[in-house]
Amino acid sequence: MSDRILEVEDLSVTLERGGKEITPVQNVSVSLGRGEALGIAGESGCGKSLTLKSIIGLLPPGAIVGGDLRFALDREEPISYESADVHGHGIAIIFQEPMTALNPTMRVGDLIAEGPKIHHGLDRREARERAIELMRLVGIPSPEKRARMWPHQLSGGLRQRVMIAAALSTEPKLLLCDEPTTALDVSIQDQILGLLQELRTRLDMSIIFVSHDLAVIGELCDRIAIMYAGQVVEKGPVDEVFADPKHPYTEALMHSVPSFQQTTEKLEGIEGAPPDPGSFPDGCRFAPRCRYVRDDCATASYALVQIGERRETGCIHPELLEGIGS
Amino acid sequence: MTDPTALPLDLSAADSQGPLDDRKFWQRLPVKVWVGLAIVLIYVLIAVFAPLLAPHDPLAIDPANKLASPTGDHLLGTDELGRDVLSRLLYAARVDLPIGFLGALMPMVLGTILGALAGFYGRWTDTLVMRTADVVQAFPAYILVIVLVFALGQGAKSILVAFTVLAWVVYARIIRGEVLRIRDLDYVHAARVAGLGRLRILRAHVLPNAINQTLIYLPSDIVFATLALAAFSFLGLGIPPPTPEWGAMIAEGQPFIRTNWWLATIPGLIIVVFGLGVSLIGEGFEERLHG
Amino acid sequence: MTAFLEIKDLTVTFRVGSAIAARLKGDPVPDLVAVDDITFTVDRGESLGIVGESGCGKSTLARAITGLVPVTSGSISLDGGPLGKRRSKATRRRVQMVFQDPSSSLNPSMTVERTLAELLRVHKIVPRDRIDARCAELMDLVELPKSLLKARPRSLSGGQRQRVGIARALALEPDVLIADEAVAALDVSVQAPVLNLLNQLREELGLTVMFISHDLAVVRYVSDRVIVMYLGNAVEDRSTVDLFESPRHPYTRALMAAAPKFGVKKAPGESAIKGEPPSALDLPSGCRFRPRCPLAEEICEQVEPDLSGASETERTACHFPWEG
Repeated sequence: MSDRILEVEDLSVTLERGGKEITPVQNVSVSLGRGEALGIAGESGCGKSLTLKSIIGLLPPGAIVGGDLRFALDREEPISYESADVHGHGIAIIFQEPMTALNPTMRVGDLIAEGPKIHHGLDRREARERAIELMRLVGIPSPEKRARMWPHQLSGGLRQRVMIAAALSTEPKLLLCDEPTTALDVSIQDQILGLLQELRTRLDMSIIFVSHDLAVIGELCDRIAIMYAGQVVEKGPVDEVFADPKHPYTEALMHSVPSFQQTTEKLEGIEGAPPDPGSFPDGCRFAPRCRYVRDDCATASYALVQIGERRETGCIHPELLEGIGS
Repeated sequence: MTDPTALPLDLSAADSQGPLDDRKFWQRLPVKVWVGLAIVLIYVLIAVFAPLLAPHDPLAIDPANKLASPTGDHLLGTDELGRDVLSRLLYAARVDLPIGFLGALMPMVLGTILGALAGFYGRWTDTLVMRTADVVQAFPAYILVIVLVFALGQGAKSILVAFTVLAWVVYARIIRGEVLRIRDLDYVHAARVAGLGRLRILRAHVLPNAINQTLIYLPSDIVFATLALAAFSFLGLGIPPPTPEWGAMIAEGQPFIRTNWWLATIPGLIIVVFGLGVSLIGEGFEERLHG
Repeated sequence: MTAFLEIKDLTVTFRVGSAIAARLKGDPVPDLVAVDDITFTVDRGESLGIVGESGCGKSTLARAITGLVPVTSGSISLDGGPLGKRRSKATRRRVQMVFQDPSSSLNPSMTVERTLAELLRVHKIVPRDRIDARCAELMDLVELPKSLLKARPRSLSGGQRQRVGIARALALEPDVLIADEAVAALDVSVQAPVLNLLNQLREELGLTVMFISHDLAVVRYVSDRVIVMYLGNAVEDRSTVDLFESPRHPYTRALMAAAPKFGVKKAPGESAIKGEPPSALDLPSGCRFRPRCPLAEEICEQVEPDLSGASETERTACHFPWEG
C-alpha cells in the first residue's frame, strides 16, 4: 500500500476570458500522504482555489485541464482519475461561505442526509439518524433540534459545521478546504481549526487547506505549498518554511503581516499588487516585485529546485535571501 | 466564492480589481449591438429623408389607379385610394419612430424620477409613489388607453400621454429597487459622511449607477411602444387617417390580403425588422453589462 | 487637558422585526442594542484601536460617530462642540471615514479626479483654480501616481482603491479619521503598505485616528491604545503595550489565545473559547461574557461589571480581572 493518497503532476488550467485564453494555474505538482494536511497559501489570483477545484472536478465549463491527477482509494497505488471513481466518493470539499454553499430550501438534517442516502443506500430514517450522528461528530449542540432548522437560522460557525458534516457524510479519504474559516470570527475560526484537526486524526483523513493566512495554515498543516501567479514557488514542511523561507515571496509575505504577539517596528509589505492571470510577467513571475531581483530573473524559466532534504524552491537565487530575522 | 458552478474566486476577484481591459466601452460591445444600431440608423435616415426618398406625395389620391400592382412608377403599388404605398411607408417612419422612441423615453424619465425619489427618500414619498404605481398596474391597460384617447382626442399626443401614464410604473419599480440597493453602499455612505447634500448624492452618486438596469429595459419598451401604436392604429384608436402609419396601413391592407398581399405584409415586416434591430441593441448591452 | 473626542454614555439601538407584529402578539417591541452605554475619550493625535468580533458593535460605534447611524442616547463631542444628529457641512468635514470594502466604497461611475474634486469644490477647501493642483497633491499624499486621476475604480487594484478612499477622506482635511476594517478586504501583501501609509499620515498631519478591526495584530501595529468590545460593551480599555503584555479581561485573553500563531500546532478538538456569542436580542444576565467565561462565579450572573480602573485609560469590566 502506497503512503500517497493523491498525486498531482504538472496540473495546468486554461480558461477563456473576454476572448483571451488565460492559464491561471500552471505546472502545479503536489502530493499528499495518508492522514497528512497540506496547506496551499497565496493571494487572490494565484490559482490556489482553482487548483483545489480541479482536484474535485468543479472547474467552470470550458476549462481545459492539463497534467496528471492520480488518486488512491483503499489499498491501491494512486491511479489516474479517469479510472478512479472520485466524484462524491473519497473526496469532499468545503467552502468559504456556507450560506451560499448550502441549499437554502432544505432543512439542515436533510442536507447532511443526502450523501448517505445516495452513496450508501440508506433509507430515510437511517439517513436521518446518520445525519444526527454526523452533527454530533462535528460538535453541533442539540443536533436533533438543529436538524429540523433551515440554514439561515444558524450562525456562521454552525453553518460551517453543517457543511463539514455534509462533506463527511460520504466518508471521504480526502477533505478539500477552500478558505473555510476566512468568513468566520477569530474565536469560531479557532474552534473550526480544532475540529478539523480532530477529525483528521480520528477519521484518518487527509486535508488540503487553501488559505491566504499563513498562520492558520501553520496551525493545521504539516506541509505547505506557496503559490504565486499560478505557480507553486515554494514547498516544504510548514515549520521549516516559516523559520527559513527559501523564496523571496514567502519571505516578503512573512514580513507583511503584523504579529499580535510582539510589537512590530515597521512592516515591509510588497510593492505593487499580485498580477492578474491575464497578464503574468515573463521569466520569474515575482521578479517585478522582488527586492532581490537580478538581471537573469527576467528570463528565468520556471522550475522547482530541491533544496535540502524535503524542500523545493522556484527561486533561482535562493542564496540571496537574508532570512526572517533581518 | 462558494457556488461551484460559478467562476472561481481567484478569477472574479482579479476581474474586479485588475486593470484588465483598457479598451473603450464601445470597443467592448458585442457585434449584435452594431447590427442593431445599423438597422435603427437606416430607419432614422429614412424618417429624416422621407421627403427626398419618396417618389410621390403620400397623401395624393388617385381613384383611377387604386389597388394597382407594383409598377415602375409605383414600386409597391397603390392602396385602395390610389395612394403610392412606398411613399406612405417611408413617410410613416416619421410618425412611428418618434412615437416609438418618445413612448419609451417619456415613461422612462417619469419613472426614473419617481422611482428614485421613492427609493431615496422612503417614508411617505415611497408610499405615495408605489401605491400610485399599484393603482395604475391594477387597471386593465388597454381600457385605460382607450379612456385616455377618448378623453384627450385621437392623435399622437394622446397616445404618448397614455403610454407615459401606463409605462412609468415598470421604470419606477426598477429604479426604486436599484436605489434601495445603492443607498446602502459604502460610496454613498462616504458621500454622506463628507457632508454632501441629499440631492447631490442622489444625482451624482446614486442615479448614474442605478440607471443601467433601465437602459437594458428601454429597447424592449421601444419595441413595445411601436407595436402598441400599430395595434391601436389597427383598432382605429391610433393616429387618425389620412396620416400614413404602419399599423394603420396593415389595417387598411387587410381586406385585400388575398389579392394585394403586400399591402398588409410589408408594413408588418417593416415593424418586425425595426423591433429586431432595437432588441439586438438591448440584448447586446445586457450581455455587456452582465457578461 | 480636556478630551478631544468624547463619547459619553453612547447607546445605539436598532428596531428589529415588526413593531406592529410584536404589539399584536403582546410582546415588547424588539430592540437590538448594538452599542450599550459606552463612554471613552480620545486625545488629539492619539490612535485608538477598537477590536472585537462580528456583532460586538464596533462598526456601529464608528458609524454613530460619523453620523451615519442615529444615536439613541448619550452624546458625542469633538473639541468641546457637540456632534449631534444634525450636523453642519463644516462639522461633518471634521470626522471622515475609510471604509472596508474597496469594491463598493468608490462610486464606479466617477473618475478618481471627479471624486476628489467634488469634495474640494463643495466644501470650498481650495479656490477653484487650485482644485487640480490639490487633487495632484492628494495623490502624492497617498503615494499614487497622478496618472490614476483619470482612472475609474474598476481599473484600480484593491490597494489602489483603498488609497483613493484615504485620499477622499483626507481631501476634507479632517481632524478625526475613522478606519473601519480598512485593510481586511485586501491581499496580505498589500495590507502592510496601507497600514504604513495610515501610520505615516497620522504623524505628518497630526490626525486623530480610530482604527476598527477584528484583527488583534493589525490593531497592535497601528494603535496607542485599544478598546476591546464584546456584545455592545467595552470590556477592556488599556494602552496597547499594557493590553498585549497583560490582558486582564478573560475575553481579551481568550481572543488572543484563539488568534492563529506561527509555530503553534492546533491540538485536536481544542479551542480557546467554547460556544458562540449569545444573541444580542437575548442577552444573559450580569456579565455578558459569563456563559462562555472560564472564571465565571455567582456574582457574574447577578451584577454586570462596570468598566473601571486606575485611570480613564486603564479600565477593565470584570469582577475577576487577571492581574499580571
